[in-house]
Amino acid sequence: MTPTAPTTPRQQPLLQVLDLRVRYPVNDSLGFWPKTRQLEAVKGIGFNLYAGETLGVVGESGCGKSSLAKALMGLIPSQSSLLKWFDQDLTNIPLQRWGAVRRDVQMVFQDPLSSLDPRLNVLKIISEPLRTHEPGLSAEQRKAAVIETLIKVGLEESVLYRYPHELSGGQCQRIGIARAIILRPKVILCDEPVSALDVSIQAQIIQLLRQLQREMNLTLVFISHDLAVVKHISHRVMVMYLGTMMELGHKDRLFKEPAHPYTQALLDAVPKADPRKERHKSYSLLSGDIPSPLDPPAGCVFHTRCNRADAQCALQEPSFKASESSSYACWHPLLST
Amino acid sequence: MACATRWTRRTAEVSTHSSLLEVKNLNVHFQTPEGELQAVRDLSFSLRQGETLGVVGESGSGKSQTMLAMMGLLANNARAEGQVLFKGDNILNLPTAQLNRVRGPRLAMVFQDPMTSLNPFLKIERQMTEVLQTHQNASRGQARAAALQMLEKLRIADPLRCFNSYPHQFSGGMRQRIMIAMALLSQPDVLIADEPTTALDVTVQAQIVALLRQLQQEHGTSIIMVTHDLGLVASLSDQVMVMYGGRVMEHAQADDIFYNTRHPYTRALLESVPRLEHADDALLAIPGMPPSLRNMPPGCPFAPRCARADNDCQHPAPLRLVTDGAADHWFACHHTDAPA
Amino acid sequence: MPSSTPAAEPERSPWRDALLRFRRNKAAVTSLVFLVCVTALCVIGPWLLPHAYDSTDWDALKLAPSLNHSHWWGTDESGRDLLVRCLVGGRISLMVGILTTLTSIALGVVWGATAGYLGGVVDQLMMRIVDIMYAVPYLLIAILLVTVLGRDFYLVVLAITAFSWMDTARLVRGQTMSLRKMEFVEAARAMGVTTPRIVFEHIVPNLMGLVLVYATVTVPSVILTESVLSFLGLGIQEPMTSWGVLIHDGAQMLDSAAWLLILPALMLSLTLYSFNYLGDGLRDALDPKDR
Repeated sequence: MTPTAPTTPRQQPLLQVLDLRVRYPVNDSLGFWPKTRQLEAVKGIGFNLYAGETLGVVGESGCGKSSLAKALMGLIPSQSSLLKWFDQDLTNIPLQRWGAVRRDVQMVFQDPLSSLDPRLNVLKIISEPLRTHEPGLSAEQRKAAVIETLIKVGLEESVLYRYPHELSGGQCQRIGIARAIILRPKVILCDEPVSALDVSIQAQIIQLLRQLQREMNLTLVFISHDLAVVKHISHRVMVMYLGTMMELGHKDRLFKEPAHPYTQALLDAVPKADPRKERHKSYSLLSGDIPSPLDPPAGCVFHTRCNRADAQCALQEPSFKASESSSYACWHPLLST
Repeated sequence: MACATRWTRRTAEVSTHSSLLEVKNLNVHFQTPEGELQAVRDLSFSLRQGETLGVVGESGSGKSQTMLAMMGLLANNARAEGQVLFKGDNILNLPTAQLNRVRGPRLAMVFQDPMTSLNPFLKIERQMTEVLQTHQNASRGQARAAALQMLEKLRIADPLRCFNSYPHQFSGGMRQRIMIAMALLSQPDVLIADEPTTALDVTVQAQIVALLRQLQQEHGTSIIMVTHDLGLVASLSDQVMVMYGGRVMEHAQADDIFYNTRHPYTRALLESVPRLEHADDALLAIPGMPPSLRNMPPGCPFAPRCARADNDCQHPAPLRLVTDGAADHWFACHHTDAPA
Repeated sequence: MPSSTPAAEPERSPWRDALLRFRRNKAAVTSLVFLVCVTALCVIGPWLLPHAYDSTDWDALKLAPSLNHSHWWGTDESGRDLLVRCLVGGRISLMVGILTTLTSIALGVVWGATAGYLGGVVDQLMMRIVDIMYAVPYLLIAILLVTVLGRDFYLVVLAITAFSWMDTARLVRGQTMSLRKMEFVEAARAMGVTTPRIVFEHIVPNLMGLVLVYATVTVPSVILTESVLSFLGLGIQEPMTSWGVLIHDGAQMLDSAAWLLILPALMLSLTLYSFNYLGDGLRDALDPKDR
């Protein structure tokens, strides 16, 4: 059940993004006078998404991965020099005109219980995309489609008339996934889909997503703070920090030989379920806390915590070097050459 | 505020003295409109000085209720039975006045969400000195000095500025460090940490863990770490207790839990939780879901999801000792041979 | 694919759960029963009683209440039976209360949900209008309206509606703004559901619990307002009566025929009390924290 090998980059990408920026106005007033500052949640990200692959996006709090997902879905406004979904140029197009994309790009949310309307039963929740995009269907046809989708996500027909609060977290997340796949989209963006679930249920949902990807030839963007989960489901992985892309590469290479010091720090920080190894572990921890996204460091955003940083890192932001084997933004990468 | 720590190796000496904290046959019941529910069943363990106990479990396992029962922090509709012996004296269900002499100064607790544990309206200095002034009758000056010293020990840069700030001005990691500082001010014998790093980023978690280890070495504090993260347990614990459905499933030294697993649930957990060191194919999902307190299966709580369950499992398995183990290794399963 | 579903149970929609919780609240259920009885009495009673509300019984002027004669609650100075007048007055008061509440809630929900969901300039504008309405002295305007246009039943309803919709609007706006941030609303937007559909299918149904509670508390306040207007002599026209009118008239007879004040006032108070208890009970039953 290994994720199948990713398609070669020569293929036409489903999504092309260049220099994507997301800004939020934030109320920063201390006293009476209102003062609004701009929070740059995403600072110029560029990448392509290819058919049939799973792109994992990993990072800690404040890295902007959720904002990235919402911007790609067109839920929040963003600026970019290029944003193309399925060859449709949506660069800087206002969100109301994104309509056609909504059929082919769906989203699965983090909290299974709050992403479902508590006043609607399962049938109504899962059939909502059908009612929105295919109004010509009869109620019978919709019900049949919903039942078919329920079986696909491993639920039984008996949950059809139940309400979210009667079901467990794992079941609710399956319903969220069912709602996302019923229109047979091409791409699904998963925003921390297993983080709110019990550990013994996480594996079930991960297996489900992999299975659906194979069966329906889906492309997934999988966002998580949990490196282990990302490792199990992704083909390529993007590492983000304070709104900037630190590294992007094939999963095997990135986890074995990361190019960016931050990626290495993340991998080191995850405790392994192996007491002997943990006891004899020896490495330097990152110093300090993650800076606030309102006040990011100058130059390379990671330089305040990096033990390889020097004067250049504090002054100049490194540009993204893309190559066949590894793509990273660092003045002092961990490459052997 | 930087906090750079070199990762310290585990060389803490575990005292060979008699146990500092001993829990015997703890049971916790809740009165609800739907009837009486049992959150913890027949739980026992002992903790020596300088030792770390990792308590692993998912939701509904009863791990948090156990800690709350020990600290006397259960909800009004809950009832605890059994014995919690701290240095030989039973502190379970003690009246508040007597309990307060132990709880806080000798037995400290750190919770998951530091934001709700800290008073947003008081400055840090006030919250920290209050602890010492109440419990140790310290004067304001003495308390201040001790608190400053603790902050320095935790490598919190600029402790004076920290003193004068409010909780919301800090990041999650900082707040958790402050909480730990507050818990350690009176140099407790036992520190109970209930999911202390779940809400934190992984790099910050690593710092907190290093901090706990360092403090344990310096003060010989015993730690009870409650978590669902097996990696965290592996990096900190001497002994590990695995809970499910209110019962103890397996209880052994850390090495035995990970390398000589006996209980099917522990094995299933090790195989199903995604880990970096796993190969991709090795993820085996456990079918079903954790039981709710209202629908607890008769017999072994894990039986509905266990691949090895049979008719015997309708009756709960008693904890039995592994006979070929070096140290005390208990597990509750009818199938005594090691799972494949 | 393994996934155990809970044992088959009857459908448990959030409304059904709330109903079950409500039934456990004895005070609320009693209040509901009382209100239903009062309403039934007011509607059916006048047909069952021997006296008409406007007919004068020349033999029984200012008669004290007693069970010995046919005027169980006594009569007023014009010989009109008080019981029948209380019931007929109850019809009017309750009708004004319920009708006004319905219209003011409807207006408040639409206004508040629109302002809360759209936000920005539209929200600011709509809420400033609400603020202006608050600043207007309603009693003065009501008096003006009634004096100029006459004392018509529907005019009274209109006048009171005009000044009671703002509370609902503010409440609904606040709730809408917090509902807007919920993940299921975001999910609907991500799906491409249009804004009007989101407001009507997701936001308003999740508000209705709160609005229902608010409505049960608005009814007594409206009835009271109508009573005040009637007390000032600006409410319902003679010979039609309402509780307010009866209290107004009864107050003038306090020293000689105290029952003319006490009995209608008692009826009004008990009804208002019951509405409030009902509202409390509904709020507790619908409280999502209980789930």
